[in-house]
Amino acid sequence: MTTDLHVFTGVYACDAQPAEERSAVREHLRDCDPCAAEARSLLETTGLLGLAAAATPPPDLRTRVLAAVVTTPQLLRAAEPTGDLRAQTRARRSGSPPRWALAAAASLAVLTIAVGATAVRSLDQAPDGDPVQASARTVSVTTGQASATVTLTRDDTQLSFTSRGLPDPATGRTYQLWLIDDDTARSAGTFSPSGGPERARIISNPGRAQTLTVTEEPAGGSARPTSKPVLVLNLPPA
Amino acid sequence: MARVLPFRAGRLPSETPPATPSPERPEDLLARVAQGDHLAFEALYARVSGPVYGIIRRVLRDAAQSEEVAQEVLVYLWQNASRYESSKGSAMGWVMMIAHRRAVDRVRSEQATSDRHHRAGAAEGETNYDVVAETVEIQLEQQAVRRCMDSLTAMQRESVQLAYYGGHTYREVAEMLSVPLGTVKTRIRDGLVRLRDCLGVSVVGNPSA
Repeated sequence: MTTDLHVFTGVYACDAQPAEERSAVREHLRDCDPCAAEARSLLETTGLLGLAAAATPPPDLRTRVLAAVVTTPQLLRAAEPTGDLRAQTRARRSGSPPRWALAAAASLAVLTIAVGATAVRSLDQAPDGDPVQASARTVSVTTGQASATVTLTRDDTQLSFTSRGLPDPATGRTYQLWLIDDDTARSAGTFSPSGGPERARIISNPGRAQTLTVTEEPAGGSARPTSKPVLVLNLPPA
Repeated sequence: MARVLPFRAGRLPSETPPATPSPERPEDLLARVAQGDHLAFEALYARVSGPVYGIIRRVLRDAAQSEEVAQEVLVYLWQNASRYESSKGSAMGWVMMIAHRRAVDRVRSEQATSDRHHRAGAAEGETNYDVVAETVEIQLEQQAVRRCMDSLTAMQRESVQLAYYGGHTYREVAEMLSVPLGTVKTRIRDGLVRLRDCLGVSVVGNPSA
């Protein structure tokens, strides 16, 4: 049986087993390191066979793919925790809000937040550094002038983030999402609001993150936040 | 529940230029695509669309269907770039695996109506459409694959071509060649091992190759 499955590496690398046998092979590969190594090397090999079959795609394929991508949400994996924010969030955990939160609170304009469909309150009435608990699964935020709307939904494994009406970031800069939990800040990807319809971003594996923030960063994103957040959102409980 | 801060309020604490390694490697492009970088996606498209379309066309034959599946695969790359793990192999290998698998799934789902003679033709390497040879990389690959295919036994070559380019299951290959299942599995595996060694594929956990 083992020998048989071992010989299967070639069939696996060619996708030549019926779909219902694929999982049995995968299971075997998980348990057999030499088999997995061989399967990988043979997959690289069939990849080269594929490369050698390259053909000129129809000219309008590019247009259609690029257009589709603009409205297609991405699966985002949160990056590894970074050191800097740990210190900040540790401070927050021990009772004092992170420095940027204080600075941000100090410079707050009066903004209106709509919660769900009904409750409306003025932000400066919120307890300082202690964001209002979220119970709704969707959080809409409207600023007076910029009129941004952010919608969050959450289930056990992913978070969906939609923004509308955010102004374009400065030239050469981009918005970046951050997931913050007790002692970590993880990048959840960059986005640019420019050009057309709102785009849902799917953020996988939010873990225990309690807060989602958006900062403006140099194009391509940063390893850690380098500017004050333009948005701070308490996440609805998972 | 939420606080909204004024846009671009205050000064930035620091300017940290993002690390941008050589933008040309598909591995690096995928990493940037995973961060939502549209320019990186366009560069990735330029790099992989020919190979992706080519292998799908080779397996499916039908132009309209190939285009449809190629579009699915390319958009999938945008959506799922974060799934790519460099420790498990090259980015191009990952992309080609996805493209081939999608093509194979499509061809099998339409098995009842598909023309098997056409697919046998695909396995022989007949093409009636433009084969890309515009990049040096692909030209070299085509030459190497042709040369290495010649180093296989006729039986190995036939089995590998029917399975990979033809999109057939090993059972189908066994029927077509009238040989036992075990023989087909062994031929495919031995053929690929010989191709691997001939093509100088570097093994496992060496994504920088």
